[in-house]
Amino acid sequence: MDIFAQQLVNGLVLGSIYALVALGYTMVYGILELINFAHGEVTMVGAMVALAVMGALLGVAPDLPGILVVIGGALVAIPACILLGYTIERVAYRPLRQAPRLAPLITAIGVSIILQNVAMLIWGRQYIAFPPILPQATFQIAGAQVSALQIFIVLLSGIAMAGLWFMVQRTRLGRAMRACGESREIASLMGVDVNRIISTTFIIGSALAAVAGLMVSAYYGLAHYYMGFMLGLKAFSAAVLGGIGNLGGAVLGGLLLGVIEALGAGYIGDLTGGFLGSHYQDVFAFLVLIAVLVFRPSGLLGERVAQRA
Amino acid sequence: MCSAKALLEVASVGKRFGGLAALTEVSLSVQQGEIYGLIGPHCAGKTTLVNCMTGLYSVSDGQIRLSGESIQGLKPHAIVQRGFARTFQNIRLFANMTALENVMVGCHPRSRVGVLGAVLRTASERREEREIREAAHFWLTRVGLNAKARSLAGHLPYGAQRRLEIARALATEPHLLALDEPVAGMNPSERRDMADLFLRLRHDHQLTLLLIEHDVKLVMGLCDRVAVLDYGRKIAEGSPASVQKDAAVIKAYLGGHAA
Repeated sequence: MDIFAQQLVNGLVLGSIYALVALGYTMVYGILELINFAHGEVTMVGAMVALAVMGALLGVAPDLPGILVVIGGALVAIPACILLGYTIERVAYRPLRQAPRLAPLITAIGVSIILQNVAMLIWGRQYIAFPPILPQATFQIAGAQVSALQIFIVLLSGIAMAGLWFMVQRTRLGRAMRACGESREIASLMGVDVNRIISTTFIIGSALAAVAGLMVSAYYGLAHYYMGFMLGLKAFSAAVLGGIGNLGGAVLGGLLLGVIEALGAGYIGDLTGGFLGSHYQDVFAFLVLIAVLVFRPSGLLGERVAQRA
Repeated sequence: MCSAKALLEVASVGKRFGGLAALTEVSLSVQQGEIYGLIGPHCAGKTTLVNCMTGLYSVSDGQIRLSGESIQGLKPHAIVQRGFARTFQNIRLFANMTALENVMVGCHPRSRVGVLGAVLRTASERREEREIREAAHFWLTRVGLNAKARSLAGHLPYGAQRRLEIARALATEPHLLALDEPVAGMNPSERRDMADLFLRLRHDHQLTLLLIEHDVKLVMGLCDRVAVLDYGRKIAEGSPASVQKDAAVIKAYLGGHAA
């Protein structure tokens, strides 16, 4: 088995999940210049709700085909996250729209801690296993072993991203979102209900987060009340890497970060003569974040900072 | 002052920023179908008054009514939906969107399809999108910019940007259009073209225009009635000819306040 090809595949799969979450960060930032630090927790809630629903479904009907169980989980998790994202914006961010930028950042962290604790109270501290209901088929592609789940994750993320791109570029709603991104004041003077567009942005981002949460728990086979923290931090790094506020940047950043992390995990043992193992893979995400902030603060596809300010 | 056909009524409006009185007891009424000029020296409060009218600022005193209904406290987008659009003194286009897209954003309040329609690509969504596109081309043609539909707004030359702002405001299908210094920075022949455009728009679309201007010559040639602001107060109102002879106006424009 070729390590490089294998890690590339693993990285792309992980990267598509990061990209979905990163889109949620970057869409909100693009309109509000706000970093919604609670977004990682929305992803976690998506995974937890989906797993709870799937567990209940399996309890009632153990013979249900696995794919239907997963769809059932998603059908509850997506509306739950939409409601959560909408509520977070109404309660924690909208009242602070005119406040200094630090204030909504603090409430974002507050919301994130509250969600973690609520999840811990409901689902406990232990890891929750993803039920073994998905097909285990694997394929050999160019020296790498690829599972059906991996293919499915990449395909579904790709479809979600393409749909989002189409919506933003080609529909009335997307145009209004871009107009708000350029200037909320002028957009409102052209008859755009800015609050409604902001709510819609949170709703779309949260729906993507629910899908990502379900995918990440299926991929790693478990979920945990604290999983949103690291996932959120990495997706945020991916958004910054690509240029925060830029949708294409979030996708590029997510994929790059996933690949860098996977390759790093694959080779770190060799590079350090066995001193550091693959569990140091998280280091790479943050090394990349630091390097980007130092050398290209506006990100790969971002505008020059001077233009924005 | 409450004439039957007053489209916009401003009654004793005051606006204070902390201790600074930007507007004091300003009253005026714009009649259906007229071109109403709002002039005054620099910093007289003209743009402040337009910002109050369009919902960007809340007024400190007084009343603003559009077609007899109070529009005070309404959000800017709600005022646009009631048929009052505007352009800006310093051009404020969506610079990273094409000219066509800018105008299509203007069509936003006259269309409906929301998130579900956009996601599902329903038949009504596709039809509405086509209608919005056609309407946007129509307004671009009206201001003579259809050839530039695909250019990024930020890349257009200055005069074209001014025209694009007008097309974008027109796409909201207003009854009343406030133009904030629409010919600033233009040469005399461009100014004549713009004046012609305003007259055509009024004629073809039953539009009422509120023209905020420095350029006295343009205002005098174009407006049916004129109000003059100075230091946040209305110092004169009437036909262009009568205002031109008004002693207070002459004093304001020639810097009589220094004395």
